[in-house]
Amino acid sequence: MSNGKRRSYQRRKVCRFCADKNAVIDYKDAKLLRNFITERGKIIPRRISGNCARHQRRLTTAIKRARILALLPFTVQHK
Amino acid sequence: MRLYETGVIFHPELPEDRLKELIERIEGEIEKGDGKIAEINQWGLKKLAYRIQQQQNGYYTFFKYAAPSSIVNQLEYQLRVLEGVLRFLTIKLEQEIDEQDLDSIQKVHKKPEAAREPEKKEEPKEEVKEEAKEVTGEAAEVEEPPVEEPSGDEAAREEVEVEEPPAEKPSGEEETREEVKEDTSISEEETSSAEKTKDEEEEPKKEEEQ
Repeated sequence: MSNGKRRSYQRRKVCRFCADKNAVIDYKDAKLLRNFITERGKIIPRRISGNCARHQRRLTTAIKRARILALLPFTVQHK
Repeated sequence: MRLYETGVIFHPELPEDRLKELIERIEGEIEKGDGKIAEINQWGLKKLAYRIQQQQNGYYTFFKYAAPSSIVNQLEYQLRVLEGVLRFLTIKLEQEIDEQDLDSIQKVHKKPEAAREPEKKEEPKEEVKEEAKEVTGEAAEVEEPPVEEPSGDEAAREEVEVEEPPAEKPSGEEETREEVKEDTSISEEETSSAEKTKDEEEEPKKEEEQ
């Protein structure tokens, strides 16, 4: 419908891991996983990040594993 | 036999020889249970994302090994008992590994300095490239008007633009997604701000590409 209009402010999101076959989701790669959590440490939902279901699932487990090994925070500390 | 990986965080203030002893002890435990070690990857001291047992830092070591499933319980029991272990996590990498692969496994010992995450830095490459293309396309459009004559170049560019919309179209899906977004506008603020920061991170890379 108003496709042209929408385009001006919203770009179609593509799953990053489908676009780049070389990108591996690894729980030890905290640098990569940090792109998918908020500053508060919450996992960014699929509707925002644009990941496909399969990769979001893997990402979620990877982030949870990284949290256990203290590579990522469960939450940000209060000061 | 299955392929496992166990990550262990040791206490940061352990003396060198004690640390070595612990690592050897774990190795011994794996080998005792018929396991075969493929890789020992020592990251060295690293800052923890949160404190464990009042410690800010930890000594990270990863053991990759093929072993029968019974070994995991044993090893984890040992890790729980050992002093100087802050945290550990065992992960199954492969359900089944063949005899052939098993034979080809050779013990690799990566020391802290060499093992400092040397691999993969090209994850976001493709996405960035796409964006760069778009940007250059727009820039070209801005330049165009004075030229007036539609050159072959421009035609090519137009083709590119025609290709784009279908990729962005799936309208019904998009629409519902929009609605959902509006409903959850409370959490939106937070997440969108996170996205913003993400975008900002990507920005400098884009410029590099150009």
